[in-house]
Amino acid sequence: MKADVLIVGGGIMGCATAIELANKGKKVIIFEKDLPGRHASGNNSGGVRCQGRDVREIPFAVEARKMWDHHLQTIGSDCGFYVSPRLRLAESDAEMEQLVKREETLKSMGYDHEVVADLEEVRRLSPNVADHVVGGLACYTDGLANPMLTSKAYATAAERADVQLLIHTRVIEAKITSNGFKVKTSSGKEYEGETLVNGTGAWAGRFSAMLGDPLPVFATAPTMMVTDRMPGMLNGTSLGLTGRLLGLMAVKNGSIVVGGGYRSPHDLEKEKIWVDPMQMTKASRIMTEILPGLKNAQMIRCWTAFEGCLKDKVPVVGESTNVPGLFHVCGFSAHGFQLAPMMGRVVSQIVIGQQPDLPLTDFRPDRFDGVE
Amino acid sequence: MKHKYDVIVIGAGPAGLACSAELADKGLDVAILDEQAAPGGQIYRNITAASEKQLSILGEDYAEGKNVVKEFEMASPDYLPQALVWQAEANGDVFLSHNRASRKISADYIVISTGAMERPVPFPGWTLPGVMTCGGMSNLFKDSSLSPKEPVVLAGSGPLLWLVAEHLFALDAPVAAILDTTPLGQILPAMKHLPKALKRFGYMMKGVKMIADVYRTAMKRKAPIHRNVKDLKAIGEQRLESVSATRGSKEVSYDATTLLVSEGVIPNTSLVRQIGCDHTWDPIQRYWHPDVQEDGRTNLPAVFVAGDGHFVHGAKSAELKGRLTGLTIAREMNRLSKEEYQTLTTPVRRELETELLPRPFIDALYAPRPHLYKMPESTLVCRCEGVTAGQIRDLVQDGLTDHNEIKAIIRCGMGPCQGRMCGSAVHELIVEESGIAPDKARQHRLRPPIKPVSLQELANAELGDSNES
Amino acid sequence: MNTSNSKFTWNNPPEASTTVTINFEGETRIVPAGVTVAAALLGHDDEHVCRSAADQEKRSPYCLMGVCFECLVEIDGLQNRQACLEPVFDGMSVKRQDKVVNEKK
Repeated sequence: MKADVLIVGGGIMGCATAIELANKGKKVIIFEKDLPGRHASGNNSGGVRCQGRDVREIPFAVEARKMWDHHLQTIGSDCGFYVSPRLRLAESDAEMEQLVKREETLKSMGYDHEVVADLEEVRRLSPNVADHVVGGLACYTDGLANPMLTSKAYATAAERADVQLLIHTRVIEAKITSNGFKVKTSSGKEYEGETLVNGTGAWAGRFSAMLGDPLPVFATAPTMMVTDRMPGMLNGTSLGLTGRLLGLMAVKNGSIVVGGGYRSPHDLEKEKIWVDPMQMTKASRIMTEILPGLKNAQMIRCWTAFEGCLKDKVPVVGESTNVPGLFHVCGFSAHGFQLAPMMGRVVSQIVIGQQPDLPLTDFRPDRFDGVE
Repeated sequence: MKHKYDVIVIGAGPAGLACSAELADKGLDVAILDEQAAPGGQIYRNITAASEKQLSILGEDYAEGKNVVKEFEMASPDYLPQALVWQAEANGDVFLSHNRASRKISADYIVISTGAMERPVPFPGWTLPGVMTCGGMSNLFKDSSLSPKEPVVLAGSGPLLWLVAEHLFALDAPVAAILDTTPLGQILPAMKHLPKALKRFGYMMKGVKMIADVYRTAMKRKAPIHRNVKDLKAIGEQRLESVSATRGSKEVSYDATTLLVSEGVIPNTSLVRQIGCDHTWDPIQRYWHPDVQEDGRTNLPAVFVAGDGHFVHGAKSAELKGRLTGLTIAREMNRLSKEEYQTLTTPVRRELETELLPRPFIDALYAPRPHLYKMPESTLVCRCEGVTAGQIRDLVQDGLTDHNEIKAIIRCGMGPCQGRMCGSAVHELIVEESGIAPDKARQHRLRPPIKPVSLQELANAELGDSNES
Repeated sequence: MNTSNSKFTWNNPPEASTTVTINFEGETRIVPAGVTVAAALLGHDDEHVCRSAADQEKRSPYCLMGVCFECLVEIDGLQNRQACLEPVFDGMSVKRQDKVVNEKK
């Protein structure tokens, strides 16, 4: 079987890329070893956030954010998206200074989506935060979406665009040929394509190594938690911190999803993650300090997912220098969800040899070469 | 309570009690943790403090619990009542909440003997106050000596229905009707297991006598018993006011303030699933149960499962399985020689074998009926999150057949009970709508904490060394 | 103590056994010692025990064995206690979880 583009990985990055390519008339096949959204794409904390991102990602995040408003038209589902302003809190004057600087930096780049919030504004947005909070940085356009719904909607839209989506199909062999690539799947079939896209998330390093193009992507198991319904506690505003690990998502039904950097031990080979209860303790301590009213809240459940990370915490997006025709879109380091629609667009552009809407130099796959 | 034990037993029903007694008796350092305030599990609930009246109503099978508890008390393992285990790991770590404080204790082996629960079957009105399970009623009587004083309807299928009916009659509760939902069509297929079951003639006759007695009393008290009943509905505004059902083409309806339902008993698998035991689908009783060998071993070397939490076989079998598991771990920990192990386990295995003889007959006769999950679209399936059967069916028709994906999209199973109440129903709805074989449809994942824990408690918890790798 | 509108009756008359005094929603109730909070509530009157957090509908104990989470009450200031798992003790303060919430967002 032949296609123009073979995409390995049926997560949102793979599907977003596939949709854009199919719309450009390309014949695309996606190989998904499980089901779309099985890992990070479908099981993240649902944050659709520009705020607090690495400045290298900001231009992409701002463009992506616009695309989130049009999902119903573009992929046929609103993805459960709604606006929940994201407020990053400063717990000391030094932290506040960092936030002020951040606002200035962004302004100098031409962005005004993150605005310094004085104490009064912090209290207006989030009346229940602790007294020691000195201020914050607000992003009024950030929001939340349902990750599983989003992943499924992307996969469905890809299929609707005539992308061939092969589920429960693992790529067990990938080879470079004279005119592109050849992959062999767990069902024993072979597929050929002129170009190949690596959207394999936590497995991106391994997959890429199959083609002789090692990438320093390593797997982590972000650990999310959710409380029972605490209506009014977050007042619809999601929170982040400046100096400590914590992200609190104000879910519509009143429960609070906790994310922001907690990790559990895992075994990628066996696809097994052990939820580390210490993460719950750590998060609970910080949560009750930031929102004393949460003492009576309950931790209802934790969940985890495999995610691919890179040392510098920004993704690898671009064509491999070692293997021409191989395009990476991976290593999103636990914040790729919001970026997906924009990444799909730019990757589809470089795959067909167009200039991308935004320069991808910061995400070059070869940026780690020779770096220890 | 110490930090480290040889064995931690979770659940103090017949299996856990017998298991921990065996282990302690063999000189092992054993902790036994239980949610309830007193030993006995559901079946022997409150056995240590039961009144004369309770004992006389509940009969000799209940009183048997005294012997089990006595042996347990003599062996005196480290017993912690009112302890809620919210996470356990295959390396022997157990995280528990007790007295509003959470902590970690560890052991070389974990025995999970968390027993069984009633199969939750959604039907219209099942969330109304006044509707409860037969087992729930039984518990109310066992630990609090309550019984209904206003019209009560019993509905469902299986031994528990008749047992509770018998108790309610003995308590002079105003039974308005008994609605037996066992399809007549299930009698014939069960018959092939009858000869084996009759090898335990006494036991079988006890059951027959119980049902006959209920029929006789019901007739005396003018409480109708309807068989082959379908389409059960609980009706009321703020609480239960009446119960209706169909019988053939006829509708029957009774005013009642209590409706007791029982659609069989399934293993309570929350903890075995969270810890990572492999599971198998039982096509007759239609439930998932952990893969457990007779001696309690699972796919996880340090984790054993004993009792009805493995497969629902009843109190006596649970006790025997607990005993066997205890002896096996004692052997594993070199407290018994090979010969001693043989000598001690042979009679237990034999007794268990006899005990299990009637099970195929009972399991086939009281198998979940074919239309059990054909509830109307508007029926609430997930009580915690308010998700209806229609919402679930719609998603399956859209092509979603993975329980976890459905859960992630419409939240069924995401509330505090973590799918204990809706899990079986969602699974059956997926199977029915998609045509996927029930053993191929994935179970939903159970995540720690398997029961909610307050943030305050977690914040104050000293969980010792983290198992971070 | 057994007010008329409870749908249940105590078979061990509490007069004859030891009792404890609990505070329920600010009112004093004398209940048999050793019973569960769920039983103390069901045996006293016919009020629902809590409301569903999802649809605000009235709920009462369903399983009475710690599985269904339909008997959640506040005990001594701590919310979400399973009434069917907690025995009553003298001086205990119990409140039903009855908030009807109109969630913002």
